[in-house]
Amino acid sequence: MPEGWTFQGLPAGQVALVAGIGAALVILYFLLRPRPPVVEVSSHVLWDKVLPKRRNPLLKELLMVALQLAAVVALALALGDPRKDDDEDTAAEQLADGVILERVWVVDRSLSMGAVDADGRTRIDRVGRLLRDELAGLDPRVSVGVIGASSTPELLAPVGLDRERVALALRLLDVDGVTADLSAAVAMSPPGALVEVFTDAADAGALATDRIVIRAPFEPRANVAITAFDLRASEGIPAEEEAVVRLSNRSTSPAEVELRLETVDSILGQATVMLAPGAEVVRRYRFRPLDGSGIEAVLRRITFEDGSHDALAADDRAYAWVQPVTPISVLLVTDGNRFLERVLSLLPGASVDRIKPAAWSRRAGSADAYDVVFLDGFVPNGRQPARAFYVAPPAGGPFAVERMVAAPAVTDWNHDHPLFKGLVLRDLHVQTSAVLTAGPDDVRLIGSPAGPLALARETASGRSVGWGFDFGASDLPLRLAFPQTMVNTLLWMRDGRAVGQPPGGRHALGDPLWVGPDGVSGAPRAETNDEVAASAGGDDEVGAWIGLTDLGQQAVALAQDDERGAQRATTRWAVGDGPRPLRLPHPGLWRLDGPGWSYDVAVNLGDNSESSLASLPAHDGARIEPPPVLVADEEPDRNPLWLLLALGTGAVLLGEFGLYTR
Amino acid sequence: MNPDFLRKLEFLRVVARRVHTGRFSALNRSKKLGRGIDFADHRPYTPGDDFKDIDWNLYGRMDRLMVRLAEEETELNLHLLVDCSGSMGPAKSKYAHEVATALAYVALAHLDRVHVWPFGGGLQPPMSPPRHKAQAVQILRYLDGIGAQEETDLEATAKAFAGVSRSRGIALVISDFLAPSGWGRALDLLRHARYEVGILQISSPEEAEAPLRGEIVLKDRETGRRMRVRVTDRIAQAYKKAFLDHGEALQSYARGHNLFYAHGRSDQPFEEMVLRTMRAERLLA
Repeated sequence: MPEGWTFQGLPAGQVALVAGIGAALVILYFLLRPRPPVVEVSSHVLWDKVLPKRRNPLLKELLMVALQLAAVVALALALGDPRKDDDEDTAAEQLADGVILERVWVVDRSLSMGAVDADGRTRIDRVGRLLRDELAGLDPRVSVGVIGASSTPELLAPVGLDRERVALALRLLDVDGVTADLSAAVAMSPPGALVEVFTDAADAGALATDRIVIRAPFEPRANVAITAFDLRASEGIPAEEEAVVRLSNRSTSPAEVELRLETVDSILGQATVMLAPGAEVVRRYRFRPLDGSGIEAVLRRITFEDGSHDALAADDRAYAWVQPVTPISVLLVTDGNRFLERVLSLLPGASVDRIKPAAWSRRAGSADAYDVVFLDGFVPNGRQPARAFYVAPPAGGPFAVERMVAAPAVTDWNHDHPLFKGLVLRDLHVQTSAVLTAGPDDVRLIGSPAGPLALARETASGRSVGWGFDFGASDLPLRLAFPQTMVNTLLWMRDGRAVGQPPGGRHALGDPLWVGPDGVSGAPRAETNDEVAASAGGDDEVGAWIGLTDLGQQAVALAQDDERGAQRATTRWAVGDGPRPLRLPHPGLWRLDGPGWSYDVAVNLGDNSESSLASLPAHDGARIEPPPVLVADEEPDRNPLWLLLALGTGAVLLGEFGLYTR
Repeated sequence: MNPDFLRKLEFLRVVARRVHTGRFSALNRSKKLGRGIDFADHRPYTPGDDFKDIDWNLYGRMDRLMVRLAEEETELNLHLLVDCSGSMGPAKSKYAHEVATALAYVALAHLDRVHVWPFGGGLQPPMSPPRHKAQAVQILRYLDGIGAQEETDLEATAKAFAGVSRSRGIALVISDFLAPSGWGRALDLLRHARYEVGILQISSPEEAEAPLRGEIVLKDRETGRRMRVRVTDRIAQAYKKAFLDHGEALQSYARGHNLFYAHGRSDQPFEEMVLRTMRAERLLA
């Protein structure tokens, strides 16, 4: 067989066997053929006048044998049903001849295809309408299929002649996820077919080949997008949240936008931002900590200087969960310390509980819940608080008092320790102070010739400070360093513990969330939402199921006292017996409620490349247009080769018979 | 040949349509003037003439010596060119030999000269028997003794005959005239050589029709060449017509040149040919 051809019927060996047997029979019959009778005549003179000019009879017989052998070979080949494998070449030849028998329409379903073009229709809607028009005028012999290109390509209509199915798939075309894997979608198309890729991806031209055509029936559009949005909490004093928003102007015209940060029920801040063409701007907002809610960054009132409109609304919003910060809590155990009480009361956002040493026994159990416990001239018996600040500690406490000294000279202070960061204690006068005995884990904070006046200790169980003198026995309260020292102390003692985990996770739209009956893979289990959990988690024929709640939609409905709307914000999704990929339909704040668990997630566009609507696919610098001729002009030769061979066999045998009877 | 037939032959004689001159005296008119029965003319006596030829009656009336002249009767040369090629086959050869012998008998019985010229691809040695009717048997033996010759070539035969033969007379060609090179040129040569040409076509009944239908191999009796043909009705009819046209052509040629023509079939008695046909065609009288 020639290269690129295979037998689809009998294998090559059997074809050769059939041909060999047939040829042997033909030759045997030729050798054993019955001889005609010999008639002796006077002369051939009269016969030569009657009979036409004849060639050598043996030549005729050999020619007949050759025809019979040809018929045998053709018949054997017909039984083999030879087919050509190289369909790609066939497609190229078909394209060159203008005869296309199979077409595959790959439609980009990425986010950018949801952009609204000048006519008010989305790009994917335009593609759907265009293809439905082409479908109506398509040659009925041409097979068509539709592949939706998203992050996971999907065969929407298999290649065939079923026009209704293709039309239905085109009518149901919609954006799916954020990105589209065009290469994978093209790879799903059958070999030999003409693949037309409808996309607005600027780099799609690289896919173009002789059988892959890139079509972009769109116009460049302007767009402003939120390309990054994040929240982070600070446990400073006061504790605060910081939101970082990055805006991008993906157009050729200056734009003015109003950026607003909102929670479900409040506006945290808003600002008008000017964006140069192609510019990116980062805006930061600080606000008081919220109680673990979600925040939405929204772009409103987007206007372009050239009058164009923002084409893509999906990237004008971003979502995040607030990182909670625990308020400062201080327990002051003292019989009365004017300076200490006053400075603690000045700390913004701090709650200070004051008790007398005699009442310690009642609060000792909850002492570790405070960020810091100030023990003024008091050392409790037994277990010490995990985070304690001992002021003028008496003997017998965790910090051993070596002796008392009068008017010690402060010779040094530890600049590197967080307590004294940025502070200057030079010329600090101390009236009386205890000299502390430094342990192996102690860090000297304030030193004197007599020994350390203040020590810091950090152990596995906690942190503590031993301060050898009363604040009132020094001029420290008169210095600016005093409140700062208290702030530093609180921050060192808290050491990030006050910042909690956000109540929800982050997720990119289009990426699957693996959700099973036991929760989201890799996510911590959270408390059950009783309302939803009451109706979720039942078993039915498909197994366990969970509730998906669009919190934004639910909040809007609740604000409007729309109970049904609030219920509609929750949909059910069957999880089955094991983890299944869940793709949330659109960005937003979502809550997943399963049997005994709940999971909040902020869904955003994970890839901001889809926000670029100004550039369209190009190939060799030129827009790629649809192929000029896509419909077969003539009836294509669909007869398989075996049929032609069989007909050829019959024709050869007829010719042979005609030659025999001549 | 039975005696009755020979007796009948003795009453016949070969008739020439033209006057030929023989060398010896016989019973046929000639262009010579001399001693004979039929008066032709007178001429003045010249010394040396036989006194017996002087017409004394005329001398008595005119007082002039005149010699009486008469048409001299000489022999007739009968050249029998007998086809002995392979195409004749045994039947046609036998028929041709018997006819030739019968004619020779007739001629010899009337003191005519008979020359038998067998031919095939060329002229064979002739046989010219003495003028006696008993020699006819020798002629038959001679012809039967000649085996089948190669492919008929009438033209070559005619050329050779015209070059060899010195005596004009009747040249009767006894043949089937199935010569690949044709027969017209040969007959023209004989005529131009001043022979009185006669045509005796011999055929066999098998030749008149196509032998079989269907796939057959035709073997040429002369050359042995084989030809594989599929004989259909159309071809058979065409062959029959070709055979008839062959005879028609010969007859037409003879009529056009005032020649003797007769057609004998080998399945018919040769006596019929000699006693009826040849007499009807005035070769014999």
